[in-house]
Amino acid sequence: MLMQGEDVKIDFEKAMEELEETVSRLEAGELTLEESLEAFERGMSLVRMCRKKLDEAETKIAKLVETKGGELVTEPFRLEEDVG
Amino acid sequence: MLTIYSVSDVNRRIKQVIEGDEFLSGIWVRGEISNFTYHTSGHMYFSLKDASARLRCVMFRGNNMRLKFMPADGMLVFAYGAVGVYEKAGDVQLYVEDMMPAGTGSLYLAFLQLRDRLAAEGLLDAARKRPLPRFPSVVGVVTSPTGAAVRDIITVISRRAPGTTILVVPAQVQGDEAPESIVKALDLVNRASALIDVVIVGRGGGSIEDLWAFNDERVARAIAGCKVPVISAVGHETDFTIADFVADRRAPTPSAAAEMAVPDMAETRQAILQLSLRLEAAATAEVRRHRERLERVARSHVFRFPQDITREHRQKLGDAYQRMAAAMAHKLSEKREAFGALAARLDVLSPLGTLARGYGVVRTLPERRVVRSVRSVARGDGVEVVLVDGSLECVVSTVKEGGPDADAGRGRED
Repeated sequence: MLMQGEDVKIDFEKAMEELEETVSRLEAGELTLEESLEAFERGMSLVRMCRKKLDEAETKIAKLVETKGGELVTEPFRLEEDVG
Repeated sequence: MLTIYSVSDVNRRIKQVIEGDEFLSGIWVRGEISNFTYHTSGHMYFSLKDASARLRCVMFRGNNMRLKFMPADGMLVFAYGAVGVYEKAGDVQLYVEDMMPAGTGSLYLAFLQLRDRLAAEGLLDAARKRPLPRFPSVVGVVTSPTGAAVRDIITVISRRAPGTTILVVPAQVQGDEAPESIVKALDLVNRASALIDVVIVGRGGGSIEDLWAFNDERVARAIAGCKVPVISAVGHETDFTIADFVADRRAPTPSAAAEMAVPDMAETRQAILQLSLRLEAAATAEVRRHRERLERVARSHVFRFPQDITREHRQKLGDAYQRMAAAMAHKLSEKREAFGALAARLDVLSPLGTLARGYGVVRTLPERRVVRSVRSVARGDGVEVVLVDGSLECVVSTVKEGGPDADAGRGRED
């Protein structure tokens, strides 16, 4: 559970950053034609990747607690509806 | 010598002196609001007074927009800001950046003392504030697992950014145990800091006593020491706690904290769309740029008149060919002449020519050896006489020696 969060984090944030960087690089207009086409293809695949991530997105809710042994674990978390 | 100064000079000097004073550059002032004016420009003008003095105050729109209460005449407040001078009027006034009602006496005094202490340590410095991540994947929530706050936060995050993982770190947020519990929860966050992008620390509204854990020094220091950027979200808009000052961002409510923590997915989608449009436009522009470059080169002279490149070579080739042909022709006629001369000489030497002139060749029979001397034949031998158009086979009847002249002379004698 914890590791899964890590993966998602790296993918989306990194992909967005790389996408923005790619667009800026392309917009600067200093690339060779080959580099431009490569940048464009890379950018489009990042766009697809980011959109896919958003489409797959589903909120996960967990509870971070410490066991008696002092270990960090996540447990399922459920909202209790009877309090407010 | 007497120097006369202009009013502007004097006011400028006053401004320099006052605004250069470190003590006056950031102070909390306690006083009662009077002459409050909420100008149409959005700025607030008022005075703070006590029993024996008054101080002009201005709170600009940018600052007063964040106020969690509407100031009014007669209200006792704590105002924070820098003393400055309005040069045009020579007015000394407090430029208020923050203000809160000073309703509850000693608690607020304790609050201010702690705040000043932390400020003196630099824990409230703007430079310490960390930016929040733009696309957090995991949001930690230090709060009661059963309160309205956690529900609000989950609702808002699920709506805005469905891909987010919400990690609730349960803490007691009210009562004597609360500070210790919050500190403990923040410690768990620190230990899992590699996984958590941003943490919301807070609780829903309540009385000032309910919220007091968030004015606890241990909590304040735990927030300041948190490895993950912290958004404080304590109570309602009007509640201000030490936690709010120490946190990287203050949210007026837990829902607002959730909104600060995660981007709206619709906006993110929009941003991705924008980026993809820019990407396509930039790629198109790049291709056009390269094509234009290509066309510029293609329009250059050598490409428009490629024959120019070969013309000279072709010229040289033509010249060479002509020279070669001429040389060949010359050589040929020379040879032909030589051949003609040779042929003529051959003609002269040919035995056929001699035969044609009436000579004959005498050969022995049957050996057909040319007879060069009368001594090589005897009377009665068969010989062949070759003429130009055939041959005669003859028998020798007489052999006479001597040259043709002697023979002729002797013949005449006979």
